[in-house]
Amino acid sequence: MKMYLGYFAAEENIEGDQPPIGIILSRDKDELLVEYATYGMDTSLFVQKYQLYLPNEQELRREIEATLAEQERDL
Amino acid sequence: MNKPVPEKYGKLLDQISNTFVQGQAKTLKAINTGLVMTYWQIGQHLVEFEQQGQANAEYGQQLLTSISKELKLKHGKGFSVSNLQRFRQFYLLNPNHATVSHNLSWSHHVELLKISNETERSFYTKQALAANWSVRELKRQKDSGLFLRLAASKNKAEILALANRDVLITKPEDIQRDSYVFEFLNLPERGSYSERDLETALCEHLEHFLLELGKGFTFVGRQYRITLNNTHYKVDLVFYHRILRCFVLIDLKSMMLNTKTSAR
Repeated sequence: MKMYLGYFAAEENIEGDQPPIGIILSRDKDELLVEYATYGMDTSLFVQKYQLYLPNEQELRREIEATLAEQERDL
Repeated sequence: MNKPVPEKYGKLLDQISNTFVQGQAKTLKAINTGLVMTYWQIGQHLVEFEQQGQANAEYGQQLLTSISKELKLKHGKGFSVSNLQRFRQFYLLNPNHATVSHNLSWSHHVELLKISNETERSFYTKQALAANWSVRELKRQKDSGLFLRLAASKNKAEILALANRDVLITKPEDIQRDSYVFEFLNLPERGSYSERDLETALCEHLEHFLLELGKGFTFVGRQYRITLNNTHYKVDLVFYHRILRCFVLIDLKSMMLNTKTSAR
């Protein structure tokens, strides 16, 4: 993810854009993991300013679980 | 219609099929030649411009950034800063355009540009051509340090023969699937997400969820291709956040693992 963020910061960002943010969704055994990744940004700034506008980890996890449940029902 | 003589009919089928395959291979080769020459020429333009002005590194970098910004708008992704750097380097390392091989794809050339030692680079270039290595094979041989192993050994012929056993060779179709070719021709790249049902479903669901949140997410792309160090990657989902003014990238990692859906 760091690599992807670096690419976006260097190649896709235009003037006035803030550093990109990444969300990593993964699965370890039965546990669903949601993780935010920042690039060249202070963690406290991220917490204060960004979290207002981004869904939190629990919300995202709930959405993924809903899709997974749907998929398993369809099988 | 009278039934044609099976033998003659079979011949006709072969003939048509061969003509088609040859025509296709020739056309793909022409595309590659055009691409490589175009990038070489862009490199030449860049270097000649630099030579007229201030030739310091900082100025050069600014120049590329500015060109990239303008031309990406006009011609798309192919004008990334890293691509421009490669065009420039490609020209600098091959100033004589007659020596540029058209039998190597741009992906090969980029892989070769990464080798700083000139003797080593020329060695891998010759080998890739002689043994018709695919890009993956070239990477593999480089990683295995073939050049150094040969340099250190007395029995060079044997090592070389061994290295060229079971190699992956270039096929005309490689060009058809090459992201650089899509970039050059400005063709849309087909996402390859049809086989990954679960991940597709997850992407769709997340996409709707984030857009409906109404908090400023705008959709940019799914399976968004980026190129880093001559390797192409796909980012599962890309958004732009209007309020935060930043890109938000989503990566789904191995969702298939440990689920019932991966039973096959």
